[in-house]
Amino acid sequence: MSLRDLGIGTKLILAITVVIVGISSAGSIIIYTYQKRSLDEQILERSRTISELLIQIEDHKLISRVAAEFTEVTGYKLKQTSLEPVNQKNAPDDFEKRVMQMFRQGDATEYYAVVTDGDGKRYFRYMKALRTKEQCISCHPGYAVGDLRGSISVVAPYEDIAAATRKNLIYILATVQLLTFSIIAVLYYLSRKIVTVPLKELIKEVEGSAKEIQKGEEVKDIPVRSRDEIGMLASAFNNLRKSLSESFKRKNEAIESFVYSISHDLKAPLRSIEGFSTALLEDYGDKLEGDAKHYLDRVIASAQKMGVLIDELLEYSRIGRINLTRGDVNVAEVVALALEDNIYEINKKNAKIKIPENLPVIKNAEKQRIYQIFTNLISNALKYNDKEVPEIEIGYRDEGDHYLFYVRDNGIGFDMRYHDKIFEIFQRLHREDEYRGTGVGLAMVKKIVETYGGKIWAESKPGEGSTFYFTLPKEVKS
Amino acid sequence: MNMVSAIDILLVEDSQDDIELTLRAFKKNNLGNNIHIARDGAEALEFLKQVEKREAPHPGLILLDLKLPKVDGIEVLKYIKSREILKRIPVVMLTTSKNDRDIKTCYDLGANSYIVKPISFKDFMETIKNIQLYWIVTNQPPVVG
Repeated sequence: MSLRDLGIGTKLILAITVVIVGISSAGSIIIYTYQKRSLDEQILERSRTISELLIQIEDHKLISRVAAEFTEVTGYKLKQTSLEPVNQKNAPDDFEKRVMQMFRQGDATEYYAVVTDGDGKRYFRYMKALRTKEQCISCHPGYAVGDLRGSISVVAPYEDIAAATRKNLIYILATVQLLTFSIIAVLYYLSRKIVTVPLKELIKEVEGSAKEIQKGEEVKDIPVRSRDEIGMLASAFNNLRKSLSESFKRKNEAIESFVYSISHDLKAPLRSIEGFSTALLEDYGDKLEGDAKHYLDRVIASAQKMGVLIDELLEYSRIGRINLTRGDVNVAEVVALALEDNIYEINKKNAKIKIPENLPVIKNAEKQRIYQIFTNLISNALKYNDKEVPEIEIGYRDEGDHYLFYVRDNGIGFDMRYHDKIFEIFQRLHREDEYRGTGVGLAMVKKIVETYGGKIWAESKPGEGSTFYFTLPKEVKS
Repeated sequence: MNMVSAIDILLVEDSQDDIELTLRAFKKNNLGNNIHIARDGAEALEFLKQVEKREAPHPGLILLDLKLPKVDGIEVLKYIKSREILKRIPVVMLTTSKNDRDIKTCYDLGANSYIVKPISFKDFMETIKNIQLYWIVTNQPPVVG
């Protein structure tokens, strides 16, 4: 998994985490360094004070007592030492010897350092030079004024204090990190609430919208819930969709108007073919030999079929493009007209028709279009029917803001695999010599229903008949 | 019948095929009318101007194709209906589809009827018979003289 696969919220949190951890670590180190330095200064200050104090004291016994008390309180070891010790107890160690030799050669009065002892422990060591004063010479006749007489040596255990400081540092770091993680947790929650969740919602809505567009359904605007970038993205998407659908609509209109004019122009030569063939047949039919007359009949029949096809295509291209007169359409009246239109087939096949007593009224609809729906479905129900007594049942159900109509037959039916195909223009399931047709009928019905904002589908089983369902709004939107 | 139906007819049609088929249909229906042919709108206007100057016979019926080269059928119709001498001549529009948006315009401009040119020749003969029955026999407009 690479950084690219992470969500925007995770990336943001990751970046913030890196920054906060960095800052808090740097802060902790600074605090630690400062504490350590102040620790060094503290030891130095104490060592200096005690040394100054001891120098002032004349009484040797008092010195010893003060030193002992000081050691007890602070844990610092105090010692008076000399390069030529009178008492072997005051003999200098290696460090003290080196420092005092340095004192002797120069005029430095103090020295301090952190030293590692032979046992591996670290100590803060401080030394104060004791110079011979005038009043000393009476007791120590061998010295000149300013000569190094000895040193006060302070040995402070450094390891323990440093460890305590380190422990402090761990507390500091732990506190800082805890704080850091709480901040990150809060930020994570906020980023989800402000960025991730609204973005995910938006993505879901855009995807849903895309699916609806693909299905060709009417798409509603995505809700714009905020005025921030996410809200702007939502309205940008709405605008994009609007301009896309407008350009799609314009293209569609251009295609339909192209189909219209093409169909229109195709009719003229077709009229000539049919007209002159008929003239030929009528005027010179008795002079034609063999199959000639039959061939001419075929030419005329084909021209007529193409004429029907073009007329249907023209009609198809008009749906939704040309507004016919709108008004209340009484479905009962329209169904009666459609049955009248198919009366020849009904009588010939001795079909049984079942219609409910009261059929509804569709408001603001085009009578011609509603009629086309029923006449096509009835004609199909009759045509694709090989039963001795074809049965057709027309019915409807009130479903709130729309009606669900159905046209049921006991005909040859079809395989549900071809469900979508039968509604496509020029798609037929049968050979021309089995069942005649142009493949425009159902496509036209579908287009009318969908133009009115309805849906159409069918249920069928081969040999058992089909039921075509379609919905129409009670009042068609203009 | 020929006695009353011997009116002159002006056929404004750009398709040679349609002209021939129309003439044949008239002949087949034994209509002995004198048919004048204009092949486009400009020719039609020229003929009509001659009619106005009495240099051409006054037609009793005008069959006017809607879509014409040069000057459109609607323009010709407008001219006819705006002229004192011509405006009472019945005008029947010829069109390829009954849902043509222009048909409404033609009616508004004073066209008397319209005929959808049928694909089927039989229907065409039927149409011509209907023309004969109504426009040539029954409906005789007053002749301006």
